[in-house]
This record gives sequence, structure tokens and C-alpha cells, in this order.
Amino acid sequence: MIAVGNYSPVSTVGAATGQGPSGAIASDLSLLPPPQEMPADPLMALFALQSKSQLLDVQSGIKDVQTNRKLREKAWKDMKAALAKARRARKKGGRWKTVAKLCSKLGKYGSVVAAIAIAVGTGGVGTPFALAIAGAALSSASLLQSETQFLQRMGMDDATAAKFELGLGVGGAVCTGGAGMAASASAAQQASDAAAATDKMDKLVRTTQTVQRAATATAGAATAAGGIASFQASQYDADATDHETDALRQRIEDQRLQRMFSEILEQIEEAQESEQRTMASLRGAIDTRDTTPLTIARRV
Amino acid sequence: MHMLTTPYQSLHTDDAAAVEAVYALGHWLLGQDRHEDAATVFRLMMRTAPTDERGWLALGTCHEKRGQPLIALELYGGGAVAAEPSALCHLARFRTLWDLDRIDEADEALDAAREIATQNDDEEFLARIDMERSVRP
Repeated sequence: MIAVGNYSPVSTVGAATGQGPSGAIASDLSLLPPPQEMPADPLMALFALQSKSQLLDVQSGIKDVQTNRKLREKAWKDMKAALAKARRARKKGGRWKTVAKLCSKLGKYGSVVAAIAIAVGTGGVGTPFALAIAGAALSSASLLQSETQFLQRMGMDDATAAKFELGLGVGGAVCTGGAGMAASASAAQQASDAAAATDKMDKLVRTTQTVQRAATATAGAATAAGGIASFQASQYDADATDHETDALRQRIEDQRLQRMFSEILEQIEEAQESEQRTMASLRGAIDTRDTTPLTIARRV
Repeated sequence: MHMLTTPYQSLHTDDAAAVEAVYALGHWLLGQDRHEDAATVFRLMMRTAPTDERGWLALGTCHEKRGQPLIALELYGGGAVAAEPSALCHLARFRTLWDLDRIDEADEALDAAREIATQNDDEEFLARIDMERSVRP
């Protein structure tokens, strides 16, 4: 176990709290709340959470998506049919408003995270867990290289990045690609019983709307997203059918996006392996910190 | 069942304690400038407790300290949705966007933070928000 007495106040990290200011607050202080309590046994906690995390591991999700990628052609057709049903369903009432609100936020605040969430998540898109997996994947993959390299590997060259604002531009491009794949996967899975299963239809619509909202957020930046963005803008319009069809027909920069999607998957897999190695190393480091004083004490 | 379709369940008490401990550990590592180690810990925390805004904030901080503001921005954005409502995540977005000279977006983020604080009647946080904006001409 780590010697908890080694913890010391972290002036630059914990100087300001999220619960509100205390006294004069400089704007450059960290927003991180200080820990509520010092752990009696952080190594055990680490083990506990890692164990839980492994139960939630994304590996199976990645494999599912990879398998579904092979069904892409068929999935596009299925999705087209499903979208038509979704449109009819949407006309029946305002039950999509809540979903749309969430999707709007996804597109607005978390372009890349949302995109990867879509890419890895064939279901449950928008849930905290899906987002967290996406965020963790983004984080660990980007730590393996520079930010610029990472974003470029996501499909953005320097000039484009400068022109379109990196975050949203990349988000839009990735989102569009990931969206196609994820939605395809979703459609493929649901193809056999999409007509009958309302809940599955809900998922598909949710996925689709996430894509549309995210694409809307990038409309000015990514021309590739234009078709889908316009679909979103007109979802309550009488011309929705035409736009939906257009959106589906626009298999935007298909080959490039497919490569990008493969890249995301590879990076997530890489990141998973790297993270496991790092965690093992971290456990070792913590353990060493704890046992060394003990060893010395025994010698004395 | 696919993990992404597994219904979210609240953490048990023991898990919550573990989250606290892991957060403290990551916080300490961050304070030691062990950013990558801290990031590993915070990623674990984030994946197991995605509705806890601290994981998102802390991981974003790790990336900012590594000179990756765009990655941090994405994480703050993810946190703003996953840990909703999170005024802190919006405030973090404000800071980062401002530093990236994306002023309009930064102001939008600040407005979002202000709205949450207003809804919560959190006057202290509102004061902080005003301070954050006032020191950036």
C-alpha cells in the first residue's frame, strides 16, 4: 500500500475548488476540486476500479463494430429503410425532443468524443458510459503522439485544420464517417426485426439524430457534413423525406472516411493495450513507494 | 450483453469510496507532475464513474498540461454532457476556448456555466464566473 502520509497539499491543483470560491481567486487556478478524503488504500481502490472497468471493457464493442463493417453495403440499404420509418415515427409526436436536445449537446460540446462514441457504440449512444469510453480512448490515443499528429491521423491536414478550426472540423469529419459506420452497424443488427421492435428503432433514430446534430455543429466547417446538416435543419419540415434521402445518398468522401474509421479503431485498440501496460507499471510504482520505506525500516 | 447497452447503474457505496480514493491518487500524481500516470488513473475513474465531472475535468487538465488543449476541450465537452449539469466543465471549456482565441464560443460556454449556476442559486459560483470573465478583457 502507498503511504498515505506522503500526500501533501497540491497547491497548483487543489488551490481552488469547484464548490465555489474561497477568498480571492485568481483566474489561472485549477478548477479541480480537491479530494474529499485521503484514501486509506489507493492501491486497493485502483484494483477495485480496474476490475470494474474490465467488466465494462470496450474490446467486445470494437470486435462487434469490426464485424459489422463487413456488412456495410447491406447496412446502408437497411438504414435507408429505417430512416424512412424513423421519419414517419417522428411525425407522430414530440417524443424525440429530449433525444434531440441531448444530441445537440453532443454535437456542440464533444465533437470528437461524440464521434468516437458513435464509432464504438452500436447502441446506447449518448449514455455517460459510451461517452466516457470515447473520451478515454481519445485521451489515451492522443497521449501516444502529439496532438497535431493525432488530429492529422484523424484525417485533417494542416491547411484544412487551420481553416476549419481543428476541434469541430475534425469532429465533423470523424463524426460523419463514424456515423455512417455506426449507424450501418446498428441497422445491420436491427435489419431482421427493425419493423417490429420499437425500442430498436428508437436506438437507430437516436444514433441518426446524434449524427445529424453533430453534423449541424460542423456545418460551416465541414462541407462533407452539409447534406446531413441540412437534413437536420429540415427534420420538421415538409421536405424532410427528400433531405433524408439525400443525406443517405451522400456517402461523403466514403473511402477517406472509411480509412479514418479504421484508424480510430486501431488507435482505440492500441490505446487499450497501452493503458493496460501503464496501469501495471503504475501499480508497480505505487507498490514500490510503499514497500521501500518498510524494507528500510526492517533493516534498521 | 454488449457493454454499451448495459443499463447504467449507480455505483455501490464501496465503488464510490474507491472512486474517491482513485481521484485522490490521481490528484496527487497530477500534483507531482506525473501527468501520464495521472491520466491513466483518471481514465479509469472516468470509465467507471462517467457522471462524475471531476474525472473529465482532471483528465482534461492532464492534457492541457501536456500541451494538448484541443484534446482537453473535447474532454470538457464530453463531461458537460455526461456529467450534466456541470458548470465546472463549461467553465473549463470557457478557459480553454478563450486561450485558443475562440472568443465567441468561449462566451457561449461561460453563458452555459452561468445558466447552471443560476438554476442552482449558486451565488459563489456566479461570482466566480463573473471574475473569470472580467479578468479577460
